[in-house]
Amino acid sequence: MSEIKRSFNDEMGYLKREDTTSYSIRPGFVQGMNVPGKFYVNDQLERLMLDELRSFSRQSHNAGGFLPAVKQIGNVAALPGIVKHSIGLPDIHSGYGFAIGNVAAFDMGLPEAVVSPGGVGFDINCGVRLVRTNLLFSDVLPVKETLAQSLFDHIPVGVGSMGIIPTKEQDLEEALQIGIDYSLREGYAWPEDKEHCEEYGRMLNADPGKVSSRAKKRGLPQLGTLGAGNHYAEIQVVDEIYDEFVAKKMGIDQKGQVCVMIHSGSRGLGHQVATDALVDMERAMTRDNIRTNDRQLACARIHSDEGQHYLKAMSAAANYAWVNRSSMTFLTRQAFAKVFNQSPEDLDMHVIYDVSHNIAKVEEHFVDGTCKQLLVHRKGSTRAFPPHHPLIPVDYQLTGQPVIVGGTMGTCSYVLTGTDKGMRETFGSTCHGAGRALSRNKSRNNLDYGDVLKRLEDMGISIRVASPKLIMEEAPESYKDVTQVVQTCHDAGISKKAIKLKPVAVVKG
Amino acid sequence: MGGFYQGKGGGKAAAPAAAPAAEGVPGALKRKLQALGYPELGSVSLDGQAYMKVILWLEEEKIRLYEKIDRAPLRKFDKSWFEAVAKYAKELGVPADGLTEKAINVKLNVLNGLTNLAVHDIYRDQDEANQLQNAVPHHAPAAGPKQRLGELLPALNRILGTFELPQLPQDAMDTDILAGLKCALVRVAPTGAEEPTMDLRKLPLGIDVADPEVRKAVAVLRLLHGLELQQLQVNINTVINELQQLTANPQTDSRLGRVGR
Repeated sequence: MSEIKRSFNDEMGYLKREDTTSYSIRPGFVQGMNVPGKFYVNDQLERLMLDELRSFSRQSHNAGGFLPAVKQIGNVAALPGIVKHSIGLPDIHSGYGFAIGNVAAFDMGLPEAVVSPGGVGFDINCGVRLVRTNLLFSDVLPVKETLAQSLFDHIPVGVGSMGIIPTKEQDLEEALQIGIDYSLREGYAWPEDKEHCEEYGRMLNADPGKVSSRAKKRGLPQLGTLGAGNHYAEIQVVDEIYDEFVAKKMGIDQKGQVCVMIHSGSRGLGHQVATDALVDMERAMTRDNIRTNDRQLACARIHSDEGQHYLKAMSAAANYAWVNRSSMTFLTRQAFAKVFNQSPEDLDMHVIYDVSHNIAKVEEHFVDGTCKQLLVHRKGSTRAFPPHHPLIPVDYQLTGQPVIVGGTMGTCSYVLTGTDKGMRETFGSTCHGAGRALSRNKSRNNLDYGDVLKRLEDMGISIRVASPKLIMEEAPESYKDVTQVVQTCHDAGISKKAIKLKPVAVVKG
Repeated sequence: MGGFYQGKGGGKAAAPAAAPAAEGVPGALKRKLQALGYPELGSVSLDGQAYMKVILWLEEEKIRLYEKIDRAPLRKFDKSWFEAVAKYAKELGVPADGLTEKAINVKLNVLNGLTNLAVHDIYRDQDEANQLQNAVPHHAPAAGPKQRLGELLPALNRILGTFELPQLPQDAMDTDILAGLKCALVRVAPTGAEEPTMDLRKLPLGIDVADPEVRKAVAVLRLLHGLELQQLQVNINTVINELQQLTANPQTDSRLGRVGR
């Protein structure tokens, strides 16, 4: 696919600032766009976004295969069956095929509509879960180190880590089939946990038979482990409450209240499912004559065998991720119970909510006034349904769905809620985190891990890591400012700020 | 004047029904005597001369119904004393039928009634002299009969009994009955700090409604529907919980764990 090389100014001719928080991308920005693009940025985040495009347009030809996120939004808009917009959220950054922070919905009613593993990501159903406690910072402060160590001991982290919950092959099959219901049956989860997960912690169309044995082999020993990369378990305290009513509904009633955030996904199993599907789909693309602007956008028609195969395997991997987070919640509850010598029930360790930010789901949305069944891809994006949506738990019917936005090491995290405007504009989606600003390689070259650790220590954050040398990839400098990201979503009205949390102890891979 | 706050005494320790007998002078009564400045508070008792002393002290120092000369029968601490005191109490409107050395209940009621009277006198004197610090609402004596809410008494006394509060006598005045009702209210519905302050106009509805009155109605329906959903969720959780009793057996084995790189 050769494209005519354009100057930065020519490129900018296709972009239009719509208001203080959003840009539109006119068709023609990349070839074959079926719908316009759209992305949300404020003044500060705009620069990062456009700098990428500027340096891209300076290259004589695209040698490295690297595409700026804004071009990736355009390429997704050129996929068959896409409706309304290809949407970029403020934390968007370049990823495999789809940018991370891209939302795209495909009309299930059109035979040519596609599903793309690149639109879900390799860490299928990566997500964040927030568990509250009735402890205050003052209760935790004297035992902070003990608690961090206890968490580290209970939740194995790092590449190649193995979990401490005995899991047999039969267990894995069932976990893939029934998701959190497996954790409930075995007693690793509380009955109330289920309702507070997206999809109630179980994708009904999962089929473990569609998951390759290689994927299962990778997943078996890893159940109940955190993993590496940007995954973490963090002890946080409430730093700010923006909406008291909403906070109260979540069981947060004062500043200084202690919560635990768990950020993890489907580990090697999800990665293998995605890899298997990409190979599968290249074949289907040739057969069905599907053309894309980028080879990484491998996809298949939703109703084709390959498409269905992937969706069923993806759902099984999603179920694995819920079981994984439930197991880690169980371990976290145990760790707290031991340190504070109280039962997790007495510590009120309820799951506030569990969000998925790498997933594709069949949902109903209004498109040009008619209700349509869409396959919504959210990659690095969180579902954010408004108040009274039938798919959110009864506890949050009046507030809208809680959206857990994990920050980076040493910065802060937020809880937002979904809005009606988000439902109309972004298929009920909002940001998922800070979003990378520097590539992993750049971070490794530019930052020193000693400095990063020292700074966290200075901030009073206890840290336990499996591989300290990798933490500069996750240093706050490598990421966009999460506060700006969240503020942009808030100002754009696609979600509302409710609570801000700051970390006091971090466990990561 | 009779029957002013007259009851069986109270205080946390004394359950109203079983109060007097062995337990001596209830705490609430002691506190009233303390407020009056009774010098022998430590030895105050319903038995023997201690009882006679406190009654005499109340008359001599506080109530002063009799001239000094007429108090002679009250000073004579012998068998005739009880008769004299019963007569004295009746004159003040404090029931004292069957007052004898052994009738502990009656003794307690008499002491309580006289103490209340003394407190009331002092209060009234200070009130009249404008010496009271707090602006206490002034209850003008009712023009009509003093008890029009008498029908409430049996039920109110049951409630007061439940909260271990002093009971009201059968001839309690309306003002006392009202005060009793307020005491019950405070305990039944503790302070309004947690009052729900829900503004129906601000409640998100999920649909567009222009008319403000219809909006309110929709909001109420939303809330009612929410209650139903909540109950459904509770039922679901109960079922899951019951099933877990049969199937759950969570285990960990730290030997399996391995921290990665």
